[in-house]
Amino acid sequence: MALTDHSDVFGSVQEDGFNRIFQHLLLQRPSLFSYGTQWFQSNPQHLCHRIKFHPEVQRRGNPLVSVEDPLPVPGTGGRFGLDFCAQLVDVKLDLHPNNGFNLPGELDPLPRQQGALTARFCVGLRCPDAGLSHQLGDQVAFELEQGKIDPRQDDAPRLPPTPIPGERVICFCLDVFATFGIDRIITAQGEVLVPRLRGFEIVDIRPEGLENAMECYVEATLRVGILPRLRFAVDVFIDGLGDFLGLAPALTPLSPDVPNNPAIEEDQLKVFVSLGF
Amino acid sequence: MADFNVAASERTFEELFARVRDSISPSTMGSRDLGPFSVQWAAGFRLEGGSIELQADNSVRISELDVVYDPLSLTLGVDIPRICIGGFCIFALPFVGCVLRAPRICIFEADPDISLPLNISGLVTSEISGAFRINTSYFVDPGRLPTMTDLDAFDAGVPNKWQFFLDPIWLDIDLIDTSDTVGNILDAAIDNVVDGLLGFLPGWARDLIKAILGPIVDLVRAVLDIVDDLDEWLSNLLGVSIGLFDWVATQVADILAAQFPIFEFDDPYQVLGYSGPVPLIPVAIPLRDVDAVVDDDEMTISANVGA
Repeated sequence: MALTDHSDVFGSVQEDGFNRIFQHLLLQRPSLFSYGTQWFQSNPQHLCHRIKFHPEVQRRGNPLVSVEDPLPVPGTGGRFGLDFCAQLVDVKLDLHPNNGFNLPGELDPLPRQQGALTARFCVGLRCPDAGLSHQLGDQVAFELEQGKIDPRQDDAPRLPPTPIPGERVICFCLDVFATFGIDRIITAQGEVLVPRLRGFEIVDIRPEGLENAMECYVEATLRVGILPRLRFAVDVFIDGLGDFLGLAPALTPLSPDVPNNPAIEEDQLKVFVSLGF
Repeated sequence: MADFNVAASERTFEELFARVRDSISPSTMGSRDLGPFSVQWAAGFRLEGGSIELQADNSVRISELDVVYDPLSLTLGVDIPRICIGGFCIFALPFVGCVLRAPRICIFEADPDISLPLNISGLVTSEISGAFRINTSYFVDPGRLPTMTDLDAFDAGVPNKWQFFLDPIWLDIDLIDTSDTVGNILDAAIDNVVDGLLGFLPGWARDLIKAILGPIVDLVRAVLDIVDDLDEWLSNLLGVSIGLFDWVATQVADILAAQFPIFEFDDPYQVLGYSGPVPLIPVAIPLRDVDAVVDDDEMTISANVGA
């Protein structure tokens, strides 16, 4: 059976290829996987995981870290916050069937037409010195008395919290597992392939509520923060063949012959494309 | 199995080939002295039609690819044997001899005597058939400066590329058709040129010359060595004397094998473009072990992700 029996063009990427692509993605766009406050951006040596990057990143002035506001310290009316960093490292992909790594029981077995992903999610917190915290506490008390901090002004525009200096960065890493599928959606730029999180699990955190809360937070990070930046135009998979031929490529419509498109099977992502002859 | 595989159906391959085919339009000019006559030419061609068949032995068969010669302009220089009329004695006296002679007029004294311009663009067609293998090659743009990084080269529009060419295993070209009108064009050209050439003569002299020569067209045809078969003569002239068919075959082979790839892509290949206001650099993947194979259904390009 030919690869193009039911389409004009067939494209596939093996999971090993995807994992190598991920390595390039990590090197060339490190800020996609590392988030933190300006302090971590300016002091990347304090990140939980040292970032390797392509020389072009530095040459073109690209950031190593996507800058976020400090984590607010409750009770300060948003005046103070803590520097933090969050990094996704050691990403590894496994396309159905699951044979690249062991999934936790909650996600096993990997459903058909899905892929699995494992990574380490590392979080670092710059912990303020106790002495300095006491001083800032006195300052907050004074400002409360002066009315400069008014918890009732919830709707007032606020500046980002001022990070509290500290010498220690406390890091921890969690092994995370995710399952995902690929959806296809139409955008102004044409049809794009969108990775969608189907399941997520952090292994063995106690108490269970902490595990669930962490899972909720990391899931939200992936769904809202990272995956939207990993949408691929269909044309990427066929090397701009449409432009080359002056045709408009589109994913081949689903049919009994092409039941899934894209298809995640046989350790590959497969794409069937029609060129509209 | 390779990291990437992209298969193009035979129908897609036909489109890829058509794009290359329609880009080909070389031209040439030259001249040659062929003894009794000479020829100058300006020729070019384009390719039309043709059928593609992908073969199980990793080759591509192209059949009945029409070569349309356009332009195809020939200028034939014809040296007609010198002819003199007149000079005979009109009045002679005894012991004196001829005292009045008719004027002697000689024509066709130059070499060549006449030039026959023949514009036969689009009236001669050949067919090319051949078998090709897909040759993968790596192209470094000559406009790329040694100091450029891959991203610099991309920004400047001179990225390295993987290219796929049709490398001929064998190639055959035949003259398959000469329009009947070629003969008419030749005859008309001869008549026009000869009439122009004799135009300075008085009518009686022109008639006399034509009566002596018989149909001038036949004379010129004889000089050109056109016996019966115009097709055969033209084929011989274009193919052997001018070497036009060899030139076409060489051009087609060179262009397909090294100038116009049936497909190409950048190396490194971008999977994510520039992003954001900074902007973030594109994510580009180096592709290695690139290869293309053909079976009787499709062409498959494979590649691995490099380090």
